[in-house]
Amino acid sequence: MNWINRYVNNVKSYLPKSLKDDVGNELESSLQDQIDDKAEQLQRELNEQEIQQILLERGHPIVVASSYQSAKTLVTPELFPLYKVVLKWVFLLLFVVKGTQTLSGAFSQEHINVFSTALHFIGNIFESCLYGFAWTTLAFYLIGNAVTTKQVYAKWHPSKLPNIPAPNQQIGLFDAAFEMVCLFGFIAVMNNYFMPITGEPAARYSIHMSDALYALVPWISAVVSLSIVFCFYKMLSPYWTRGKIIIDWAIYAAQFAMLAVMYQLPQSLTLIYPLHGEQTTLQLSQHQWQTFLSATALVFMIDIGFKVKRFIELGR
Amino acid sequence: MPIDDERLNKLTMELRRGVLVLVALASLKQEHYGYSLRKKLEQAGLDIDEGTLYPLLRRLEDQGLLTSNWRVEDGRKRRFYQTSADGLDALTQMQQEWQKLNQSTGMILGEQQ
Repeated sequence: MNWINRYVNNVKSYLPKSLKDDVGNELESSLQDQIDDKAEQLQRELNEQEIQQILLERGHPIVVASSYQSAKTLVTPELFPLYKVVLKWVFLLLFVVKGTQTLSGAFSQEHINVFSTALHFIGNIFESCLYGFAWTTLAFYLIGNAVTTKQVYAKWHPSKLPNIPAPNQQIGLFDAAFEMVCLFGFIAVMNNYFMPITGEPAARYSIHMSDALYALVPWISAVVSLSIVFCFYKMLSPYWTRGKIIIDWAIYAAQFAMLAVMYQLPQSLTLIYPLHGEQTTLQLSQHQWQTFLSATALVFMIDIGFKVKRFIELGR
Repeated sequence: MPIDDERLNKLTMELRRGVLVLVALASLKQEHYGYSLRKKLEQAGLDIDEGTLYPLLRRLEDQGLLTSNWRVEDGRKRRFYQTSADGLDALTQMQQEWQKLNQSTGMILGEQQ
């Protein structure tokens, strides 16, 4: 019976302490019964191969042990669909944060090395996503143990169902996330908030503003912050409605007001950057400054034009 | 697409598993140990593998539908199971449900022919 002992012992090694002896004894007794039964049929003792065949039919020790234990998961089946959505959001948020950090960090270096920056970004995002995955899973494990999801889901009512947007009214999650990275990057540049990512001496690229423009930075930051909040809202509720378009226009109105004030400012911006090992200064003339602002206004106008079309379509 | 043997076997096992609780509670009105119950079911034409039967007996015992005790019989330690009072109540109700289900299934399958 050496094979039976070895088999039972192996199954027991995968069982919790409370079940080891009980299940082990029952399994051993059942296997011995089966062998006796077979021996009676054949009218002789079973050989080793025949005993091993019985064990093979019983199944792998891990499978046998698992059948005595209720299937435990880190995330309960009821929470799993929500877990996947949250995980997607965590990854998206990490992409936004790390993307912003990498962009602003890259501009703080003397020489921008695209390959090294990209490599650093990939490494960084991979590490962050691993942490994000672990923390999200842990949070769901704790929620799954603490909350009876059936009670929570019982409070649901069909009136809470979200609308189904038409295909052309949908807001792409990646588009909104990318917009958010750009806005965060812009706000970081305006506030000279560069975060070196390699620890080298910083800021050979810099922007110098006139006092008049500098005084506007808090206002510009406030308007951009509004855009960031709205962007986040668009990610949470990723389809266009007339209300959302009106909010978008209101933010554009604030941006146009800022552009109009900035348009009046003379020689407001000076860029400093390295060229052939020397710091080079580029002071924008009044004309260049106004052209830059006009181009920005034009881009805004084009987007507003698309929104007008969408606004009319939504009214039909 | 023709259904292969493996898929058919899985579907059949799933179908049998559904009635196994009913069958186990009914069979264990008389005391049995795991292997003797399996043999009894096999003789009745219901071949259930041990990996399904033994854990099921434990679950039913945990739910209070079976009672069990260890005894030595024929020089071997065996765990004997028997349907408890709660198990008998559950069996009565499940039998009624089974009759209804059987009738409905029979009607639906009859319509197909």
